[in-house]
Amino acid sequence: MAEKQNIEQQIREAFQGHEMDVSSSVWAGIETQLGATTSVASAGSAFLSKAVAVLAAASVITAATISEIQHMETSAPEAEGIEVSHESGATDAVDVATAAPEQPVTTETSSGESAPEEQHSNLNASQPENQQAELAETAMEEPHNVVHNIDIQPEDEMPTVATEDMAQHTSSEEEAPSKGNDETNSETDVTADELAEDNSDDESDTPIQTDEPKSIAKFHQKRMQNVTPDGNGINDYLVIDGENVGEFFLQIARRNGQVVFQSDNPNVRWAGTDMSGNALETGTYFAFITASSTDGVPFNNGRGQKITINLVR
Amino acid sequence: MYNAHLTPSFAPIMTDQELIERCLKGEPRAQKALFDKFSGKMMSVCMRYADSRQKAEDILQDGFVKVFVNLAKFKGEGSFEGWIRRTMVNTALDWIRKTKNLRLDTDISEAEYLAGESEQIVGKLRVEALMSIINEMPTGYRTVFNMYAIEGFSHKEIANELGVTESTSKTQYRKARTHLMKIIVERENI
Repeated sequence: MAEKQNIEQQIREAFQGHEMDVSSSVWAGIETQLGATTSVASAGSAFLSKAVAVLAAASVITAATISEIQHMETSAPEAEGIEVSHESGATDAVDVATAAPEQPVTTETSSGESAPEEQHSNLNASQPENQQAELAETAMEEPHNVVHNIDIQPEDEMPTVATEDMAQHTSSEEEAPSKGNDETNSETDVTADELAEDNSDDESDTPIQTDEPKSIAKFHQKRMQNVTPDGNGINDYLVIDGENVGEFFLQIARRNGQVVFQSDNPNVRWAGTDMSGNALETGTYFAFITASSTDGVPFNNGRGQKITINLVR
Repeated sequence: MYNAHLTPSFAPIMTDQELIERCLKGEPRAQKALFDKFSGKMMSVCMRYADSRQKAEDILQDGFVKVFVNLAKFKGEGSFEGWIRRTMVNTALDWIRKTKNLRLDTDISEAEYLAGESEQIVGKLRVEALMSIINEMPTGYRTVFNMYAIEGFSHKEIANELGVTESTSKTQYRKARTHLMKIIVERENI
């Protein structure tokens, strides 16, 4: 299965974390240039230092908040966050795979059960407000038109690919770390009507045929993902984890259907911004993936896939 | 991401936030620590866009100067490493635009390559080999390939950045990809 992973992803993984030696002349050059810059800047240094002080004060507050969240998010020390999460990612994938066939309703239940110790852990501080806000929104905009149009349930695919693939692709960077948040989230964030959709859709999908001669596009996405662009290395982006992807289109919309972001690049990373790179506000967003495989087979019979994203700043 | 052993010159591991604050206060040791923490990875980024090691180090140097000068503008949206990386990529693109050797219409003579064949060979590729293949590409191919496949820009964004049309970006990317696959297949066991 690993060989079917697309070439771009393999290349990205090859370069992930790659480092090269840097000759000492580079730092020497930087020091020289910085020396020049700071002496120029020091003319207005009184003003500057004020600005810096204000900034520093602001960033101390941010730092405090961020580190609080960090601590709640991961029990693992920062330095090992990635590796540790990979392991848990792999086992989690297996859990999903084994649990799902018996109870099709389930990415959320099975993953929730598989890691009960994480449920209390993250983002509880900020969660309640969001949730209230969302519920309020839901009440106001009952018909999720956009959602219904494109909505499908990816669970059926997960089991067929999860065991072999996800266990192997441990280096797919953001996928694994997102686990911790997903679990909590899926507990708290599913609204009643979404659950209803889950149930109704589950019977309809047919299992993937593994011996299909044509390649089939697959996406190893969680149905619900957190994006927390706080720079702590965990869930900073939504990352698309697909294989055999030919044509690709991603749209991200607010709950009211307003499209805020789109891309035709399966390697895109979405860090909670609009098309101009402006930060979007905390809230629930929907990502719609439509795609075809490298052999031109429409992904999921052309129905695409919906991912619910919880953007938390 | 936070490799303790890679920051020997500043023994206690500082978080990015601490590094930023201390750099903003103008502490030279913190600046050096920040450079040491990220320069290896950023050299890899610059090397992908450059056509030589010397050029990559020039871009790296300019990029880090920009990082320090603009540090106060980093608002903590997205990761700090991501911000530094974007600065490097932008610096590289500045250089590419400036030198005007961006011949997006360059055609590499291509042997037929059967799409879909041998994609698994990439699995055996070492990053050094990939780097050398990318470095050998013409600037246009290399730039579009880096931006699309590795940095995750959309064709629209690439078109904006490079001042070409979206369809040129797509064509260039397809050719670059084919070129890459062809070399990979040829070298098979690198």
